[in-house]
Amino acid sequence: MRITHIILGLITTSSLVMPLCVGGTELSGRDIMERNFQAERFPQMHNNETMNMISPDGAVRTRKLSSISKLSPNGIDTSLRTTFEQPADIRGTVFLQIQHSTESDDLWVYLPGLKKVRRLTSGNKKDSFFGSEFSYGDLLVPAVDTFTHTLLRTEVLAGDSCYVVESKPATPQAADDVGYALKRSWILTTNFHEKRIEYYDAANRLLKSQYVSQIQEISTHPSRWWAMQREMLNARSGYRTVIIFDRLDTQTPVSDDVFSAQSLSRGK
Amino acid sequence: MSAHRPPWIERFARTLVRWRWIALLLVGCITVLLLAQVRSLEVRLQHETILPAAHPYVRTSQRIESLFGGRNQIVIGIVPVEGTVYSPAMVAVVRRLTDGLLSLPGIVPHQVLSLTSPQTKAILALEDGMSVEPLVPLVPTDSAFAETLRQRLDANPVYRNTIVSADGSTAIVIGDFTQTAESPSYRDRVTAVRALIEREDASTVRFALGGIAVNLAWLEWYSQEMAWLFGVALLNVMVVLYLSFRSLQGMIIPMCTALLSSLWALGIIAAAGVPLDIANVTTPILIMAIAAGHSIQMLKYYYEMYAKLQDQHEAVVAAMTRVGPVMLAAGTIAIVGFLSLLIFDIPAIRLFGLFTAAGVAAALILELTCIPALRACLPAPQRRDVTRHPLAPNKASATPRSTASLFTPTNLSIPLLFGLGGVTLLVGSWLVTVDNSMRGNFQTSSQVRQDDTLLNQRMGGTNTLSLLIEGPTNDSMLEPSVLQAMVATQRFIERYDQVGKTLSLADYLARMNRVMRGDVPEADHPPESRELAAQYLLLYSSGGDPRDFDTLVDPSYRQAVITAYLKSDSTAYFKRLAADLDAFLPTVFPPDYRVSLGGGLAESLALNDTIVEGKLQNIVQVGLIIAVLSAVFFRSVLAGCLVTIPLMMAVIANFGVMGYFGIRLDIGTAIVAAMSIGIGADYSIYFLYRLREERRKTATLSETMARTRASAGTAVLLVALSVGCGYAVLMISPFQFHIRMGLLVAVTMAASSVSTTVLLPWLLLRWPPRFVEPASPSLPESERSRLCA
Repeated sequence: MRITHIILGLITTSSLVMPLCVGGTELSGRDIMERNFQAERFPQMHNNETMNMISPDGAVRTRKLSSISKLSPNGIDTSLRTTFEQPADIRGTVFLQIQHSTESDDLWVYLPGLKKVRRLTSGNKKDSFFGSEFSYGDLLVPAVDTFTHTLLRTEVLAGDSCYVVESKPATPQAADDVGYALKRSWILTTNFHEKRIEYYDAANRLLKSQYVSQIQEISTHPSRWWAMQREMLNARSGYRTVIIFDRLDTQTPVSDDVFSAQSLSRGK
Repeated sequence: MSAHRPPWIERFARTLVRWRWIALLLVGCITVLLLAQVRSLEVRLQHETILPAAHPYVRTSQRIESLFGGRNQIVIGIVPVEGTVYSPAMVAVVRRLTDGLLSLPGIVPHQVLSLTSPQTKAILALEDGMSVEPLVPLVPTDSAFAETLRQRLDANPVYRNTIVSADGSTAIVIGDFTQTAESPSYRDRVTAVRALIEREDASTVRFALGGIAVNLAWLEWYSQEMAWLFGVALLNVMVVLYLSFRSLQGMIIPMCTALLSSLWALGIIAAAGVPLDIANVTTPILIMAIAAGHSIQMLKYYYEMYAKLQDQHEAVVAAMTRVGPVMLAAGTIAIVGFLSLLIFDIPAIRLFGLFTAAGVAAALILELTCIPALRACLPAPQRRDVTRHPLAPNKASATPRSTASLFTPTNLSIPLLFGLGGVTLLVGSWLVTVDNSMRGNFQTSSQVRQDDTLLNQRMGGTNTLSLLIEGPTNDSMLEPSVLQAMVATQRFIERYDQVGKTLSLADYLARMNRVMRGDVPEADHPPESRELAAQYLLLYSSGGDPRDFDTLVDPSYRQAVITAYLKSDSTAYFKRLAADLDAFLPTVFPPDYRVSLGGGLAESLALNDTIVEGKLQNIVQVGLIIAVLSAVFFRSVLAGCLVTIPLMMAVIANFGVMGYFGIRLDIGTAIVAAMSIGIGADYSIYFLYRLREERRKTATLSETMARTRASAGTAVLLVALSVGCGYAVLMISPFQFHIRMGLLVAVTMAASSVSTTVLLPWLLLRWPPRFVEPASPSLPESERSRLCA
């Protein structure tokens, strides 16, 4: 009886430890996060999304937006153009963000009410993504080496085996930029897509938690995945935001023209 | 009830004496049970309990709190010893305190406001756009920092006089706590904040603490001092008792009633799960004074009976039989008087009334059970104890004869004196002002007042007026007409000389509009279209935080608030402003929008309205109740009216002294009148009861009066002295609330006891009422002599 228990224990332990070694090489925290970074990289993407911002008392404010994004040749930076469709007050408002991993991002806005394109200062990664609980840095994930990563353990989260990786900003500047002192990610061992992320402040208090669901494989060669729903819960305020991707198109080519400030007022 | 000795009280007294040990055991058990409850008692204030919940201003304030916070604010003023707050070192202090506040449990993160708080953003103009960034990104050390910060503040004037003074001499950090019955007390909150301050270098910067949470914390601290004030009051009452009876038993037995009654009152409060607050913390002293008063009456009768009967147990029975009914009547009237406070819309006053009534009931129970039982167990009093005190029967009939000539129906000096005094005091009562500003509870020399004065002088003002604007639909606050109405309202309020600052969402939108239109001053107004306002806010949210405006507008943009900071806390000033606003607001806001007033000043005014209205109602009500119950007790309408005369004098004296001494009518002084009426009614009831008793033994009314004044009258004066001295102790407190209460209780005790022993006798001699005459013919001379012996 006791031997059976020992054998079962060994099997369970090894099943958890096994994914740590891929192809005979043990994965580090950085390796896992690098793969996580790559798992969601697409050369280009068109999508429509619904953003529900929910207050602690359950009141919901809904925004519908469409986005076009394109990965730059360096494979790290992304250009993102976001157009608001609903509600009516903000319909036609367009934001353009050109990500630069080595310098400040470029940020432009077109306000139909003003009928003018205006430049905004380069947004910090910690700034709110259009009033939601997500920050820009949560959605346009910074380069892997912005953080130092440590693999803590593997564990089963809601039936899925996950790496638990702790990431700390590599520099004080990075910490100020991202707005948190520590990030703990649950990365699926199967496809390296994140399943949950928790963000902590310098006193190790939970700031917010991101829950990722409906993870779909978008392409097999290379293997690329996308979460059709993300939810961010602010632990302090109780507010949460749910982003649902209604449509996703990674095949249609995207012209570089759509990422010019001049194009914003033309609605292209 | 009947003026005749009812057989039931005698039967009860005899049973009590027989089963005295059982009675003592029962009282002991109850006392132990209640004592166990007392251990859990603590002083703890809840802001809501000192406000009239149903008043529109209070309801609006509560709604503003639920939407935008700000009800438990704590303000830390940071004043550099040299220079301005625009130095890196001072900004570092601000940052540490801000971070420190944010780390405290119960703090509402988005309500923490300071130069360095996350939501304090500078809206800056770029050459071709806008930048929203933290007002102070990091604490830099370069020399241009001060100038840069000054420029940013100039460009974002919303922060001037709100988180930094116009001259840069002071910065403040504002925090707001979620406060529930389970939260730490206000004093714990403030202690935690003080700990943050104490970490700073006191040689370079000094601090001032303000805000409602600080005021309430100080009220808690001062209320805690009631414990030692109670001890001093106890000593006072003991001295009065010793002087009255000149014996240890005469001092200790009433003190037993007093102490046990106070203990029971505290136990009842604790058992009800109610914490001690600013009003009911005075209950133990009050109960002690009332209980001692009743005990004196009983003890005096007991000595009289013992002197006559020379049998301890028989004396106990006789004293109870004689005093029991009148004690029950007087006690019931006091209970009803205190219960009448339940009509107040202010929870703290209601609780005070309820628990004081319970305490008086406890005193009655103890005086009619425990004390007679105890007395029956103790050794019989010595002859000198019975005879040498000022109330001794042999002295009682002799002393007042020296003043008997005063009490002749033809001597008009007494009515003239009382008439003149009454009119003078009545005139004074017109001078009474109603004022419930919380800071008025503290001495001007106190730390809390000095801090408040500093903050008030340097910042926009520490007194707030909030205007809650409620629209018909979501995003109503983005309508250009409403934003313009907000601006118009702010300019209207700013015309008043005591207004230091106003703030609204329109200020931020005007700033964004200006920046997005090339930073030209002409564009410094809210956007002309709802769509543009929404787009500006979306734009802001991409650089700021969606809840940066949480203190100004709700997430649905259906409700917003305009906050005005005033340097004056005068409710009269605010009343004028409120009246002007009532006329102005409908002219600028669309008809389907509702604008209502709230904030600290509005709550003070609500308290004023409620207390003035409630006080008048309360006085009339208590007076009527006392008159009716007394009329029933004496079976005479005239007796009911006569009982109220000393009370009316007490009320007039109370308000007259308040008027002449500039004592404001507030939540504390409002309680005093009701208290005094409740206690004072005892005097005239005991007096009239004794008068009727004496009348059976004496031939003439003037002789009856002399004997009554000597016995009941002296006892009334001693009781008043004991209550007055007990409460006068409060005047040594550093807390204005207690000082006013102590003075006024002493004044009203003096007025009601002197009216009972001087004015009432004159009235009774001038117009002898029928109810004083015994129902049976006067006793035969031989019986009278025996009784008088």
